[in-house]
Amino acid sequence: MDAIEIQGLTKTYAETRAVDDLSFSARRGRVTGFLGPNGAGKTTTLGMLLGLVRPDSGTARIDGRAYRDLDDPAGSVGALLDPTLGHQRQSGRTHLRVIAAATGRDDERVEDVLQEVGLADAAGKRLGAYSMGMRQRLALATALLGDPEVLVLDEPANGLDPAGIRWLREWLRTFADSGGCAMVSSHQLAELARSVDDIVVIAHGQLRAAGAYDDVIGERDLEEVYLELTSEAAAIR
Amino acid sequence: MSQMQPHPTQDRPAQPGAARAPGRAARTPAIPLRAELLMLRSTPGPWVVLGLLVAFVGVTSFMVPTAAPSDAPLLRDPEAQRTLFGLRSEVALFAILLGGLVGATDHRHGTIATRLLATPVRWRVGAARVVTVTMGALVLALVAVATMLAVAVPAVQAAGGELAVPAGELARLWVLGAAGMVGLALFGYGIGEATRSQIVGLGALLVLTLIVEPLLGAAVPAVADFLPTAPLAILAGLRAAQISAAGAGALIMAYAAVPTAVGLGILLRHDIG
Repeated sequence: MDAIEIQGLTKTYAETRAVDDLSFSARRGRVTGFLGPNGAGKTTTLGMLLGLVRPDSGTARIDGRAYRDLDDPAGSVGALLDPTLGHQRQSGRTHLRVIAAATGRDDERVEDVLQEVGLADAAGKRLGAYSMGMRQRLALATALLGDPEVLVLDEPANGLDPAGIRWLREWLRTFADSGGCAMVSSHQLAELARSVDDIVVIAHGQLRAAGAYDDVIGERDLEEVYLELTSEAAAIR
Repeated sequence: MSQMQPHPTQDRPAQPGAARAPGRAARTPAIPLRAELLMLRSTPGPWVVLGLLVAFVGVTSFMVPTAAPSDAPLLRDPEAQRTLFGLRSEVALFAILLGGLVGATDHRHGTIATRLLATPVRWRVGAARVVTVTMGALVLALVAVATMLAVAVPAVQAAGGELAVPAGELARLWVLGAAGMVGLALFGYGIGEATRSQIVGLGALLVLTLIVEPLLGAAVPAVADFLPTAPLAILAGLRAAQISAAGAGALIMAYAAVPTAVGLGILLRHDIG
């Protein structure tokens, strides 16, 4: 069974069809790149997968179940959405402790993930004093609190320095190689080309391509293929 | 970022999911409640509300008996002293603000998505917030009473009077006052959750209680008893009114129930994007 299964997903806001009969899947042991221009419907799709947005029709399942029906959602799926969000006067450690409490994890697990993302030394600082890279690591730590088997990451490399980007790439590889499923939405095509095993491209809420990276891109350049697949949407925006 | 080095990947657990997980325990009602209470304790807003409450109750509990003439009923008459030792309508503002903070803080800081990812069955989050608001309002009532006793009793004695209200009557005043504060805190919670904005929600609550209510009450006395904070004093019999104490209780329940139902409805159904 695929870890993530999207079937006929559709969402309309007012007159705009943000996601239009979208279907694809993501497998365990693979890093799947999720690409599309701004406004293509990526964030809405991730929101529907994670139960934050109600679809008009279709299903989004993780291990065969809707996110809200998972026995232990945080232990099944870790999500990194917008790293800029958080109470600016809370420390990184307290921010994580609140989320840990909400997922039934203890403070020991908070220290573990702070170590894992390299943020232990800065955990006592207020979020308002965090750089973008530190916020990104904190958001990743939040996603890892439940030690999930599926990761859904929206622009995880934003704000990371080159060493951090390399660390993230190697970390994702290790995660996938040990049986995890990572779905990564990003505009950083060069980095994605080095990280992903599979690729899903959408535009105007519709699927443009999905499959193994080598099958979709072949010997060509990811940027070139991506722009071809999304040229209509790119021209409009 | 310079002080942080990328962490070696070998520190990653060998298998995802290897760390100890609570499984179905993650769905017990106490878990979202623990998170809400920790959030309440770890952000400055509720502490500011608590500090302002202590300052307000402390100052008024000191000033009122101190400024009273030596033969004032307030210093010896049980009936007159009830207004000094009861939870007055002004105190309701703090409960309303606390409720508004619980309802709006996650929306203000964008952490609502993280909260709903941790507890995707949304009614559990709503229920945890209602309990949190209830507990917070009871703490505010307890602190108000403690401050009142610590300041007003010595102030009355220093002015030559004595505590004349029987203990049973004091207990009745405080229980009714605390119940009223819970209801009005839920009113604030509902507004905060429904507006999904700390600025709009708390702004609306402040304008309503500090500007609209006094002006409207003065301009149209017939409606004064029905405005949000008035029923708190009527409930405990601290204010002469057109409605009975039971009517005031019903009014507070309505003020609590309608915005809370609307706020919870929005929490349950609204897309988070």
